[in-house]
Amino acid sequence: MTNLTTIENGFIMNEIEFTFEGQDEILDKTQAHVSTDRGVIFMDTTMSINGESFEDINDFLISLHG
Amino acid sequence: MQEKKKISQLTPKERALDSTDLLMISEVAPDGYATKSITGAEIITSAQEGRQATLISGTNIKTINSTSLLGSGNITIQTNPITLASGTGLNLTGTTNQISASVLIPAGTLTANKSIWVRNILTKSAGSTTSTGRIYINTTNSLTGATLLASSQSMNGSSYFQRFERNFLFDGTNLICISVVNGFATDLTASTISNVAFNNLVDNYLIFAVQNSTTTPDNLGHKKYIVQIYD
Repeated sequence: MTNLTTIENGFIMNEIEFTFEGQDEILDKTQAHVSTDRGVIFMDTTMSINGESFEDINDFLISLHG
Repeated sequence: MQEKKKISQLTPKERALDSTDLLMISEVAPDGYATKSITGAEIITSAQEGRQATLISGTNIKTINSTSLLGSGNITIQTNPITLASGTGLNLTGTTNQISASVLIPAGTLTANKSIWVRNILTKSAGSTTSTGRIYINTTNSLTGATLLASSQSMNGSSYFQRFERNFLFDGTNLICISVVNGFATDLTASTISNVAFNNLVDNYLIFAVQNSTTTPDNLGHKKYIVQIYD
C-alpha cells in the first residue's frame, strides 16, 4: 500500500515532494486525479494518508488537502 | 604366424574415410594375438564432437525478415524509430478507471531530446453512455500513483471508434505534450502545453486505461496500440 505524507500545500509520495496546483477531478467513488507541480496524479482509496485508510474518495481528498 | 608391420609401414588408404571402414590391429598376447578394432563411423563421430555444424540458413541459424545471415557484408537494421511495443489491449466494462494495456519503457531507453509516439485505436462494441481512454506513466505497472499523460475525446452515443494518438518530447526532465486533462483524439491541433516529470533512469510503464460511466454494457478498450521512440 502506498502511503502519502501530507505537507504544507502538498504531499510526499515515494520520497518525492508534490505541490498542489489546480483542481482535483473525481473519477468515481474511489478514484480521483490530483493536480500537482509534477503532473496530474491518479489516486485511489488503496492509498493511505499519514497511515490512515479511507473508503470514500471525498474523505480521502479532504484529508489530503488538510 | 602373421607378418609383423609397423603402423607407419601400412599402405595409405588415399581416399576419404568411410563409415564402413574398419581399422584393426593385433598385438602379441600370452596366448597368441589380441585383436582390437574401430570403425570408420566411430572415428568420424569422435572427430566431430564439439564442432559447430555447418550453418544452413533457416535451419540452424535464423533469418532477419527472411534475409539470410550467411556470408560477408553488413545488414542495415533501421534504428529510427525504434518500435518499443505493439499489441492489443482489453475491452473492459465497469465504472472504475482500469488498465486495458501497458508497455514497459526500460531504464535508459528514452534519452534527452528523443520523443515517444503512441497510437492506438479506442473501440467499443456496446453501450451509449460516456467512455474515456487515458494514458498514464508510472514506475510500477499500476494506476495507483500514476501520472496522467493523455485523455481521449469522450465517446458516447454511437461513438464506438477513435484514433487516439500522442507525441511526447523528453527534454531530460519532463515529457512535454499537449494538455493532459483536455480530451483530444490526437495532438494534431494546438492547445496548452503540459510538462510531466519523467525519470528516464528507472523502468517506467506506459499504462493505457479505460473508464465507462455505466457498469454495462459499455466496454471501451485500447486496440492495436503501438509505441515508438524517435531520435
